[in-house]
Amino acid sequence: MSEVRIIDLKANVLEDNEVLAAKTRERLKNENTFLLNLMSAPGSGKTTTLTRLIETLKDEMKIAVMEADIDSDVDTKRILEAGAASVQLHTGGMCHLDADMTCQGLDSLPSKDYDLVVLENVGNLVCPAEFDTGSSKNAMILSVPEGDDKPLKYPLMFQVADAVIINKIDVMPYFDFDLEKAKKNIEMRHPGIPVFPICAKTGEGVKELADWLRSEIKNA
Amino acid sequence: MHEMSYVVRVVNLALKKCEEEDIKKVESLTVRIGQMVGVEPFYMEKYYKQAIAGTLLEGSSIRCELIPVKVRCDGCGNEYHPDAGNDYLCPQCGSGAAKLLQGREFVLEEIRASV
Ligand SMILES: Nc1nc2c(ncn2[C@@H]2O[C@H](COP(=O)(O)OP(=O)(O)O)[C@@H](O)[C@H]2O)c(=O)[nH]1
Ligand SMILES: [Mg+2]
Ligand SMILES: [Zn+2]
Repeated sequence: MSEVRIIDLKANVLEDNEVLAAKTRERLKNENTFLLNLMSAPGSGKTTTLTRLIETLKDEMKIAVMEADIDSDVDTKRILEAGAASVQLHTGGMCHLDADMTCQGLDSLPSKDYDLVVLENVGNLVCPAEFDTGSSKNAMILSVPEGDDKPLKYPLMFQVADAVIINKIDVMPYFDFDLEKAKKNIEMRHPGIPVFPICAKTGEGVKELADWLRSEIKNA
Repeated sequence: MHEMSYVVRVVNLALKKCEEEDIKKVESLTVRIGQMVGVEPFYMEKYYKQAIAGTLLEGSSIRCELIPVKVRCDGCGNEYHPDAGNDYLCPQCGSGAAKLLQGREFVLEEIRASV
């Protein structure tokens, strides 16, 4: 008959993901592996920044990169040339990575063979911020052409990030980008967060970024 | 956007609950979605129909209730809805630092089962 029974659930739909993400962080801790989740809009310079970081750190630690962004076959080559291991993650056209896909990537490396694994997330400022991947820390890149008001438009991304990289500072003179204003907007969204202005193209500022990452790995 | 990913999660969760509760037929699901999640009910409904084909949820519908984003200003304690109109800043004191009170949740609120 048309009688209706109502099951009151109030169940968090992301709970599975949050549980797996917490488990992944525990696993990484046991393996002594640090997972950095790197997020940005498309073309902000994730891969270029990674090649610079790899050049700086590869003699001190074993590094692998998991490529999830589109064009990842090209990016994978650039990472291999820079001197790190690399795998491609198949996102099936998804706009973000979740803890499940991240785990599959970690298994395929396998992550225990590395000190640092970087996840190059899908180029997008909205969806990746929603899903905890299980990473030890999150970093995001804001590139100069995107504008100094980006932190106002994408509050969640700046809240989940543990560090902000401002890339392409070489083109600042050509854009109406005010570095102090950008820093102020970032600080407003996430008080106390470290900000690293860099030029991934020339390597300027990468040393400070590498120092931050090194100390995060040490203290993980 | 990421509606498909959420639909798959909702359907899997609902199927699990139906098994636990020994439900054989479902009329509708209700989900509550914070506006910060950025999903469109139109696409939720569209992908839902595709995702439930061949499952015991087939024939049911999904109802999406959107929850507006609300924050409490760190500067002055004012509660407001950040949006493009106020530049996501407190209309009372201009600060952008705030604690999220609601708007990020994605909750499977209830299942209406036919018995
Ligand atoms: N001018 C300038 N261009 C850069 C810089 N870093 C990256 N690029 C360029 O930006 C484009 C996208 O870089 P890529 O690293 O592939 O970005 P991804 O999509 O985030 O991985 C490439 O053409 C890079 O050469 C920089 O510091 N300055
Ligand atoms: Mg790339
Ligand atoms: Zn205020």
